[in-house]
Amino acid sequence: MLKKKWTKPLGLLVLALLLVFLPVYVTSAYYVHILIYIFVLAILAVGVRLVYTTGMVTFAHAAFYAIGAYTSATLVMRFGWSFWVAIFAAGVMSAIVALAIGYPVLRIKGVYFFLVSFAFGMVVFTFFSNYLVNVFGGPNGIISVPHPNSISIPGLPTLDFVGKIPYYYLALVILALTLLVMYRLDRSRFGLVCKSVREADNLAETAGVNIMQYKVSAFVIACFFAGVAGAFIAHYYSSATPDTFGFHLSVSLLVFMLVGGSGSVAGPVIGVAVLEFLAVLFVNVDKALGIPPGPPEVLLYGVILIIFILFFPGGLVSLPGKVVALFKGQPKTKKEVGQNAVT
Amino acid sequence: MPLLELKGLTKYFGGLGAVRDLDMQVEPGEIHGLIGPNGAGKTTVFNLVSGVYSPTKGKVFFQGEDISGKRPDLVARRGLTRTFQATTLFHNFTVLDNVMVGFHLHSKINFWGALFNTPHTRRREKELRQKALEILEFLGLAPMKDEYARNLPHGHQRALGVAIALATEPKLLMLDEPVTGMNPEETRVMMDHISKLQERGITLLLVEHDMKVVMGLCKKITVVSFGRKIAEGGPDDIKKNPEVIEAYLGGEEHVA
Amino acid sequence: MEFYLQLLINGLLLSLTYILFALGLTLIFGIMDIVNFAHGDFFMLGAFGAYFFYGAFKINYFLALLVSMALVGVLGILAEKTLFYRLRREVVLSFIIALGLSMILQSGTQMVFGVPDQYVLPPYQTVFRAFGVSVPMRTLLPALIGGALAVGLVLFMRYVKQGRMLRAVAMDMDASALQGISIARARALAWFLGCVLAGAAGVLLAPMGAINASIGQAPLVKAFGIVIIGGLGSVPGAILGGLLLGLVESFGSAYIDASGPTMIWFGLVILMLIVRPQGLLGHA
Repeated sequence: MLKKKWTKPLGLLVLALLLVFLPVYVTSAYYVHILIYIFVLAILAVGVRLVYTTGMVTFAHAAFYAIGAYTSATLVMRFGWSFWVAIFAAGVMSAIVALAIGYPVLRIKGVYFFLVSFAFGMVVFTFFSNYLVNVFGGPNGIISVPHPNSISIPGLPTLDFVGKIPYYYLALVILALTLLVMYRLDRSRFGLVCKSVREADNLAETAGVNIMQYKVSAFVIACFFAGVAGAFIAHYYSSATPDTFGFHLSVSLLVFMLVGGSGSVAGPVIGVAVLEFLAVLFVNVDKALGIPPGPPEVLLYGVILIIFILFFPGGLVSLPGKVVALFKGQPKTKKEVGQNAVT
Repeated sequence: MPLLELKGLTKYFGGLGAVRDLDMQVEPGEIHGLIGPNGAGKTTVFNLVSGVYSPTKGKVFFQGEDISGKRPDLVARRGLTRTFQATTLFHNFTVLDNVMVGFHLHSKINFWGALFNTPHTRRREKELRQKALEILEFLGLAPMKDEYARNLPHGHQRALGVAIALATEPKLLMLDEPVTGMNPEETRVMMDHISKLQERGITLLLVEHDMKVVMGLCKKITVVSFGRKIAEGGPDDIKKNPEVIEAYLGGEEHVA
Repeated sequence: MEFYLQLLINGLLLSLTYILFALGLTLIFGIMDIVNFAHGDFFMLGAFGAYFFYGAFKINYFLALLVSMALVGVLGILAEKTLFYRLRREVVLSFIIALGLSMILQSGTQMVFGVPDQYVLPPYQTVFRAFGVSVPMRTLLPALIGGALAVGLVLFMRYVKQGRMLRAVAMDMDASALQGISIARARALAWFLGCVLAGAAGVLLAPMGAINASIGQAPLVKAFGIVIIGGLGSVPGAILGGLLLGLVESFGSAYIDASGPTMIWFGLVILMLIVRPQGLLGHA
């Protein structure tokens, strides 16, 4: 029997191999697209969770995703930058904006931060929809964003971004890097201190923690990756339109985190995968039954959401532990509704 | 030179004077008591000294340096920290992790070290874990190092609060009602800890309701009432002081 | 001069219905820190009430208003008793639950009434003209009824026992509970009143445009701003914030382009949150 120490890395290795070879078996462009979109959402959702570890619930994440998309599209199309530089610059741009607004805004506590981030999201949305129309294209956005430049490494065949497969691998690589950083941060002293700020900021402060420094750092790092994801999606969709980055996306990201579980990096990723899978399932059921997609699945989605928040506060990742505890007859952990709460 | 010196410290909330023109000196090495009836302004003094509030008027000097209105983390950096009245802990952390956060100022691990988990980082974390275990051992918490803080009994939670403060390696430690809500046995253990802290060379400033504890531990006591200092001296002077007796009778509490 | 007067009157009329909507949001927030994301959907249900009772069944307009308000209010109590009763000051969780409720209400409405837009004719078509200012009855009537309801709520909160109970709970829940106030009853009352007001706003504004399941979104976004400017949980704050928004929109769209007011408004909201998060009339 395998030692317990090895089950987790081994499981991850199998999952990684599966994801690498998946496009060989999944030939439908539709499903490859779904997977790519899941990767992008996962990059965003783990960012929302990083900010959440410091006790802040951000409603502005879609705005930083948008800033990345518009930055990259503008740099490539107006200034002739290479995509490979622009995607990085897009992340930096989002991080800079996050830094600029982070200092005044992250001081605000609880529900007020929640609302200010919401208002900021609305401002960014309104800005891209209505201002500098000759640059950002107004409600129609920027169209005909070019594909990433081909990569040619001597000795290997040139990699052209044609079809969905190259995008699949690019998104997978970005996601892997993001998860690596998030996981490392989570397990390190940085993560511990971030969480201490959420647990009891006054105590953390008397232990010498500069709480603003940690809140802003977490926010800036999360927004950097959101910017990179935005740049990716703009070139993948060949467009950057305000609607892609609307308020509903920010809401969904929170939902992914809460349904998956905010206790670990894996939580939001699982939340994204399961809920997106559910959405695909609904579509297929509709097809099988020969009915048009419509309100009933939204209703069901709403019901599932409420059941999860009310009855599984630790999220999906906490379920295996709970089942084990149930069989072993251990007392339930004292987690009640509100483990995730911010007040 | 006194370790901590308050000069004319004053704090108003709206029109209400919580602390008024308070002068006080804490000498290095002593256990100094700060007592007074409910609402006398003791906790406000703690909050002013530790940087939670800025004083309306007056100054706080620590080791001769003016620290009035400095942020709590900057105050902690200078070697002055506190515990909290309520059981303020990192409740969803293990006992060990609670203390690990306390080492924040002395971890010598920067962001990149944490991110890349460098050999230096790993070595430091190991050392810190060792030091944390020593502190837990000292306060009798070592057997429950992997327990969640929220699951500890009350007495141990208060001890853990002290453990976190110790990890910051303070020169002056302010304890806010360390034995409130404890049974006699827990109280005795805590008093024992406090004496041992003094032996370690840490200066202590103690706010406490339990007169037995204050009289038993402190060589010097400052009494405040309605935000003003009304008496100062050794335990015997304080017991006999008519103003103190008056203040406490008014506040329905008796000096033991 | 007449131009300014017209803008002022337009702004005031606009603000009265905003106020009605925002009052409900602030009431529900005040009691339990619940940011009711589904508030717009209670508004939407009010509009469908107008469509169903007044538009389709030709009941008297005012009767239809009362019936719709009552039904939406009862639905509010139902939501509180089934979904929110366990949550205490848990902003994020209650927000997400409200989001789920919003999905259920919107899709449920689509399943009952269908997806396409519906319309209701305004009950009165008269237009008043005086001093070079024209006020159509279809904007005046909602504003008057909305204003009366808002005044009614303020009086209720001040002079009626139940209203004072709500204020006490909003100020300090624990102390109120110690004084023997039933928190459960206060919560139910807040939800009832809040949803009644949202439903009323929905009925009153129904004749102004198309009616569909998602018409609650736009007023909701506006109301968030209103309660932030005025102070979350503050009834007078919601009134002040609503007046401000009405005027910003009326004057803003006259002087700047159509999206100008939105930018100004959200700029104001963010500024307020940074400088004074508790809002103009809220307490910290």
